[in-house]
Amino acid sequence: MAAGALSGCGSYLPEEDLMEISIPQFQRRVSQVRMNQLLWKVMDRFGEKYPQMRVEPASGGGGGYQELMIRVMEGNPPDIMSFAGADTGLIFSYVKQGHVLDITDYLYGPAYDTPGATWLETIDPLYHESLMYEGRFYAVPQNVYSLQLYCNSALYRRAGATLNPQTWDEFLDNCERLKRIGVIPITQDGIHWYTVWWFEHLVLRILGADKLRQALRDPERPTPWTGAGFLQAARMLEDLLDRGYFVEGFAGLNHIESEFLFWRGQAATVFVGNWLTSARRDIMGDFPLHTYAFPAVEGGAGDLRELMGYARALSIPALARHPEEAAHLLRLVNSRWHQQQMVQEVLRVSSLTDAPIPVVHQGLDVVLGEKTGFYPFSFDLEGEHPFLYRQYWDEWNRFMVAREISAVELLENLEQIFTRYFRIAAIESAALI
Amino acid sequence: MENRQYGPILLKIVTILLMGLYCLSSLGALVWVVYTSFKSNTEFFSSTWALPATLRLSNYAYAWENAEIGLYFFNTAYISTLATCGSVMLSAMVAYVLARVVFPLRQFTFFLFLAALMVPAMLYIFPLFVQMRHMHLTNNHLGLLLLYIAMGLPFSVFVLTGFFRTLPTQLEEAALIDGASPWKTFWMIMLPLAKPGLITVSIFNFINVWNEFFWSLVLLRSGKLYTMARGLQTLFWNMSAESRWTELFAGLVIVMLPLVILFIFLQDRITEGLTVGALKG
Amino acid sequence: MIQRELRKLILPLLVPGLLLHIVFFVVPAVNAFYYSLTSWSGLTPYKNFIGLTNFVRAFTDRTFLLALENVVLFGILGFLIVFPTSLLFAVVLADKPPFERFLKFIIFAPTLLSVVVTAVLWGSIYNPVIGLLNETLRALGLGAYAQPWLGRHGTALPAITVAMVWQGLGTYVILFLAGLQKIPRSFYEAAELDGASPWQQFWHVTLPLLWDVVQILVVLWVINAIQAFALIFVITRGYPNVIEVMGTYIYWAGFQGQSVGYGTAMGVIMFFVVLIFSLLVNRLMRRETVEY
Repeated sequence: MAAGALSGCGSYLPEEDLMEISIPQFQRRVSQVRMNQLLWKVMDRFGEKYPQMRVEPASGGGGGYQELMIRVMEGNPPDIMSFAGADTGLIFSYVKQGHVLDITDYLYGPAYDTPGATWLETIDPLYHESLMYEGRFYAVPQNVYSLQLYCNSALYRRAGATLNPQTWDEFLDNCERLKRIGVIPITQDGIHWYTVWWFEHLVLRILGADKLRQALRDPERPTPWTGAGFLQAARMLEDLLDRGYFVEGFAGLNHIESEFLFWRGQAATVFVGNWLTSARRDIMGDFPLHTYAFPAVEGGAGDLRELMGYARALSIPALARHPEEAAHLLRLVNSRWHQQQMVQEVLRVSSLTDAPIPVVHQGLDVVLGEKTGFYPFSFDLEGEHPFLYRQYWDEWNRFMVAREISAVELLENLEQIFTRYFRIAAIESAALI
Repeated sequence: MENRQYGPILLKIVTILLMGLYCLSSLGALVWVVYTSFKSNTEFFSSTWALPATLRLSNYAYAWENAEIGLYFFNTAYISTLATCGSVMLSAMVAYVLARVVFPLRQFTFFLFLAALMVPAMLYIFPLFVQMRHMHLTNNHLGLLLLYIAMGLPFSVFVLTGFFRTLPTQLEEAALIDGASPWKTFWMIMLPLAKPGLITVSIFNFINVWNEFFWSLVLLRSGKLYTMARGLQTLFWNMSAESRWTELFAGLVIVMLPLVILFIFLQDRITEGLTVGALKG
Repeated sequence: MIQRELRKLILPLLVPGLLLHIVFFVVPAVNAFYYSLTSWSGLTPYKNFIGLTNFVRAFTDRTFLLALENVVLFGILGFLIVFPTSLLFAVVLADKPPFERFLKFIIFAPTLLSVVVTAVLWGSIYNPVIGLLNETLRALGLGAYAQPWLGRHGTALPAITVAMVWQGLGTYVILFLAGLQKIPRSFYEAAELDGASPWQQFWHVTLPLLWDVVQILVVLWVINAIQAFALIFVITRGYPNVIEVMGTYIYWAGFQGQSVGYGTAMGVIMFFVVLIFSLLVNRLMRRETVEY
């Protein structure tokens, strides 16, 4: 005890043969969480090639994004980084500011256990965009999360609702039927970024991906928020709220609590990512689960086969002490061997081409199998401009959760916020020494 | 005439009711936490109110071992002790000079210490963090210790300076005439006389360092180095994400216990010491 | 002459503590003013000088204004609850009621515990699904009132204020108790001889003599409200929310929002707020201290 205390008292410099790995759910070996156990299998296999390296989970524990940032600021990043800023993918501002290793060359090397293919070729091309910055690769995906609507198929059938609504009107019709049989149509997390998804998906369906990307990311503002399609999206959601299809008081519910209502059969629909099932496997049992993609909007430019989500990105820091070893570890994480286990045992969705789809997600095979596009949440706004993303999200919540402002005010405010932010950003980068 | 007599009686009744309500709910919440910590999670989810079927100690074992609250306890204990000793010692030294020695900029130096009490910590968190990074004092106990010692100085200096001022000047005069060096005078005579003040300040410091959260959040990255407050925060976030409330409550009880036990045994001493401090302040 | 001797002590006694204080407080505090004039992200070595842009930005930043508003509301609301409550409790305790030790224990124990403990305890109480508050309401048949307390601004503010008051009550009760015990009995006896009712005694004897305690209470409470961080941070798990306060927002700005310069600028603003407030309190509450 005393020795431990004393050794902690001195400078805690990382030891030479120690690799600290920051992957969500990767904890100490004693933890029986399935994903953790699978990751330790990867670590053991890694140890077969590099027996002298010791592997440890980097601590952080909850609210991990601030932990990672502080470590990077300190100049002491973990040997493998997992960007988890509100759980978007690769955080581009870290790349821009030179903290992430360019791993393109590793990716053009051979894959771990797919003969004849490079590592890069084993990853589904639709996910490549979210791993790249200015043509180079900075991350690989551990798994993929896509957003879709999950429903309790038994309740839907009882209410006479269609299991695969193709349009928004059909979706509204479903909600009405559910309400009539006394079930909460939609349960919702009101605290996290889950609320913004409704807006982004509606815009995606009405105006298409390019317009949404421009509104979110383009400093020149070729597509301002005050344009026509955005107002329609906001009004449609307002209508959904006014009809009372959301659970009462969702303002204070976090995702666990809101999903509770779903698992208990009190609410019939939840709009969430496919982590829903991988995290809740034990509770699920023989729950009548079904999933369908966010419906299309009549007359809209978008297709319901376009999905939003993110690839959980793993990267190597620029200051890595063991880049070769870290790259090998990532190669193992992307191997068919590990990915298959992940799919079968933890029910996650793999990023590999031709990967099997987890069996329990009824309907997910259709959603994923037919996808024609895959776009990151908010087109990675959070990854590059966290402050702007925060203001965007706060403003949206004033509209959807607090119901303080009207749709018109929302869009005017958003445009003002974005314009002002980009103007200040221009000043700040112009003053570069 | 009669109204005025009912007034204060009514107030007294209301106050007693209020106090009763406060104590009942406070106690109720704490009792709830304690008996829930003996339940299993399935028991807890089926009924929040019910008493546990059996007294499960596994939650406590989990909190102490897996969640490492035991380790955090030892970390906190030795850091608090060292920081308090260091802080009190240094502030007594500083306070004596500020109280008794006349030198230019004496008022200014005193004010410099006092200023820290009025300045909100959020002003300097980032510069301090960056500075400590440059000094290699982040993510280790040495840095945390030095910071805690420094943070304890302003208030202790304030209290102890006042204290030293009340001691008669004849003491130094007499000692110096007897041939004692000023150094000896301080350590042998003045410091022992300041004992009541030192005790007050020590208690204050100890409790503050024991409970300190913000800097252990900002400075400590490695789980092995956490203090109890930090460990409890991590436990709370992790356990509620996994819906393991009973383990969380066990951890909460463990964290609450040391100071509560200390308080039960030293209640009079502590309140007396703090009252003295309050009066001086 | 003794001063000449005593001055030899300056180096060994004063300097170590002073040095520590300068390194860990004075230097960073001064640096803060410099950082606030830059657009430093925290992740690069580049600190671009942008003058007062950060300050202008703060006043058009809705979240900053929300955080400021919350801090003010916590300060005012909390004070309105804490002041009468602690005074009343102190009055009851001063009369040596039965179970005095137990009462003192219950009132004072929360102050001894870390704010994290309070946060975890009250966070669990307010939990919408399994929390004590909602479960109690449902058990009493008042299930209609069970709601996510921390979700809406209107309910979250009082809820957190209650937790803050619960935590801080002990200190203020002790302060008032000490103040009350200083007042000599003879004052009350004299007042009674003059025909004053208990109410008048309270108003004209007790309160004026407690005035400096009240002053301390105001300053302490407001500083407590302004610096509030741990309670909100732990309960909200570091996520943006409706009860954002200056402490959590500044922390977020630097450690997630990648705007250390802006975060420090907000800290500078808070510094001036506290400064102005302390000066105001000093002016407004200055009364002749009663000597006795």
